[in-house]
Parts: sequence; structure tokens; C-alpha cells
Amino acid sequence: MAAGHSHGIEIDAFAGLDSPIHRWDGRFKIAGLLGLIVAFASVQTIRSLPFLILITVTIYALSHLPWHILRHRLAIPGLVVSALVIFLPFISGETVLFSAGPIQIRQEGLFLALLIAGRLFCIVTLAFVMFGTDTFVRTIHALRALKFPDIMADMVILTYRYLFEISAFFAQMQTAARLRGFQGNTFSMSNIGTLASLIGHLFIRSYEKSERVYKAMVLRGYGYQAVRQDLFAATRDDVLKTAVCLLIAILLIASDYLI
Amino acid sequence: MHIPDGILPPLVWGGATVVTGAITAYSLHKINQEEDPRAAVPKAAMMTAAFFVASSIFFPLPPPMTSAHLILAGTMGVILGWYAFPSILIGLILQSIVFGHGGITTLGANALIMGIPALLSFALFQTTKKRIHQDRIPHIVGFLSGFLGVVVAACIFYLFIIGTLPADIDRTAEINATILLCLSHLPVAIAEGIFTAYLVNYLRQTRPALIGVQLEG
Repeated sequence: MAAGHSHGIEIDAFAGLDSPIHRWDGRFKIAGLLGLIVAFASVQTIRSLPFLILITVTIYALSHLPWHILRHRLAIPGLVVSALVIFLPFISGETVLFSAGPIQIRQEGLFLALLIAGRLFCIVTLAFVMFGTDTFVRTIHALRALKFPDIMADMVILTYRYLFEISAFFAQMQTAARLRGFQGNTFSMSNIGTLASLIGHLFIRSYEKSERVYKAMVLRGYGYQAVRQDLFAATRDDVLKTAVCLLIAILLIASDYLI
Repeated sequence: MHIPDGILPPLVWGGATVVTGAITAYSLHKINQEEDPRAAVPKAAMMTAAFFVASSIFFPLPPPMTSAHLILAGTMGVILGWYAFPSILIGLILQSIVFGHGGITTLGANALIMGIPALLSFALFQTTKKRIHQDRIPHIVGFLSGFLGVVVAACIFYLFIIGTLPADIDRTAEINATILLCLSHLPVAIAEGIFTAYLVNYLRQTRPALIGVQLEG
């Protein structure tokens, strides 16, 4: 038994930087960047790829987010996508670009693999810009202002709030189990039973804590407070930035499908 | 078992997003029918966090395999009921925003991969709930929930991946590959089935309210 969970990068770590993207109103930023992400994910031809990369790199540079963090963010999805598309140049398409014995590299498959990898790079980068340039809680408030359901928004904030606490608690439970002689690294019915009890105990503790948390929330007026409307104040610049993003998104989709 | 951005064609990720939106809306509609819909929000949120942590645990498998991480889709259906689908979506949103795993445009597809087996397990558990204290019933229901959770999730995942490959790839080969890849998950599904059987029985004995049943006797 091993916890493969990593706390990853604290998404709030770069929210305090100053850049044109950081100063962009959260609601308008999500609308604009999400529009671009949808357009990028809809692009089907390799000739649009250089534009996607150019737009992405420009926005990332404007955000002043560190490049080495982006490399870290791209590592896992990049690995998954590589494993899925690496065989495409060998099995898809008819135009042979290179041949060595029974192995042939075909143009259509190669272009599709490049397109998928390129779209992944651009979408992951823009998503990091969208969420990494504001605090997590403000991002959720911005989503709420964009009509994200209240119950879901409350759940996201509470889940995020307790995620690391529960993770630390489970790590303590694992240590306690090991100190009592539990060796979870071999397959046996007894080990699976012990693991089920450990995780069952984690669920019970979390459930009991949630009952206390709910009572405390009700005492603070949960469910009876009006949603704050003063968190965001858009300027003409914010509207302009979003309009530019949406215009680029429309042009990209139109050029990809029509030209 | 998450699909990253960039892989799925627009029609597939768009369609999956619409279906996920519809299932989420229906789940929220069922939640809003409860007497105090917000009362269960902290429970669902806390349990989502606990599932998030528990699903990163690797458990040992018999040789020649080494280990696999828990999927827990079936367990989520049993414990969270109508909250399971929104919880899964929230878990995926968090994974995507905080850790950069999964994807933004593939949120819908990934929610279906985990959410459909969760809802199937919920339905299965609801039909057998009245007999949960009978001999072997918690083990059988728990096993089926965990087992189906993995098998159904794997099948939907591979259908998304293989079904969206270029049209010039042999269809028969695609179908055979899908079946083969789903079958390769059987050892993991059996192990998670056994794990869930133990877990459901443990919760039934120690805190039955967590799975929505009364204490025995």
C-alpha cells in the first residue's frame, strides 16, 4: 500500500503576481480564455497549429507565470498523450514519408499525432493561465457569477478546503498501521480487508467531521446569505480583452472549417 | 483512467459535455427535492475529498501484476447516491485546476467514465438495500459494485479512445482491441470488488448511516 497522491503545485502560489492577465476581471478572463480553449480543441487541421502555439505562447508570456512550472504541469498529460498517439504515424494514413523494412512512417498519422500533441500543449497552458493567475476561491466565485450552480460551487470550495487536511490524516493512519506491523505490499485477502477497514475509517471520520462542519456553517448563516455582488468590477479593458479572445476563437474555427 | 485535452474530436467531447451536463442537472434536481438540499453539501464535499485521497492509494495485485490504484466509482455510488455524479465532476475539476491532471474540454467524457458506473452501483445498491443485513448480501452487493465500477469505467474509457481513432484503421481490430483492453482490467476489477465487499460490510457494521441504512436489529 502506498499513497501515490502528491500535493502538486499550490495553484494560489502565483496569484499575487502582477500582469495584464492577473488584472483581468475573473469572469471575463474565464469567458475569454475558455472561448479560446474551445476553439483550440475544435481545430482539426495541422495548418492551424502554428497559430495556436503563437497565441498560447504570447498569452503565457503576458501572464508572467514561470516557464519551469508549465513544464511540470505538462509532464503527466504529455506522458499519457504520448503513449496514446505514438503508434499513429505507423498505422494511420496512406502517404508514406519514410520506410525502413516493414516499418513505414505515414504522413496522415504523423500529422494527427502532432495535432493532438499541439492541442494538448495549448489547452493545458491556457488552462494554467486561466486558473493560475487568480486565487482558487476567487476563480470559483467568478464561476458562480457565470451561473455555475451554487451547490456545486459550495462543494468545490469545501472539498478544496478539506482535501489537504484529510490527506494528512490518512498519512497518519498509514503510519499508525505500519507501526502496528501492517505490511500492505503483498497481495492477500487479509491485506485487502485491512486496507478496506483503513479507508472505511477515513470515510467515517470525514463523515463525522462533515456533520460538525455543517452545524458550524448553519450557525454562521449558511444558506441565508446573499451572494456577494461586489467581488468583481469589470472595466472597458476587461471587456476588450475578452472580445479579442472570442474574435480570435471565432476566426480560428471559421478558418479551420472553411478555408 | 482520465482522458487528457487534445485527443477527442469536437463532436465527441462536445457530446460528452452535453450528456454530463444533463446527468448533473438531473442529479441536482433529485438533490433539490430533498427536504434540506444544502444539509448534505458538507457531507458530499468531505466525502469527495476523502475519495480523492483514497483513490490515490495503490493496492497490491497477485503476480505477475504489481499494484493498481483504487477507482472507487462503485463505492461512490453506494455512499453518495445522487451526489455521486456531481462529486465525481468536482473531483475532476479539482484535479484539473489544482494538479493539472485530466483535462478541461474532456471533463464531460471523464465524468461519464467514472459517473456512469457510480450511478449503476447506486441503482444496484438501492434495489438490495432492504436485505443488506441478510447473510452474504453486503459482500455480494459490495463485490458487484466494486467490480462493475472498474469494468464499466474501463470499457467507456477504451470506447472513447479507440472509437475516435482515424477512420482508416481496421474496425474489427478496433473492436478486438477494446475487448482485450477491457479484459486486461479483470484482475484489478476482482481486487477492487473484494475491497468494496469488505468496505460495505465494514460500514454496515460500524456506521450504517453512511450507506443510508439502519443499524442491524
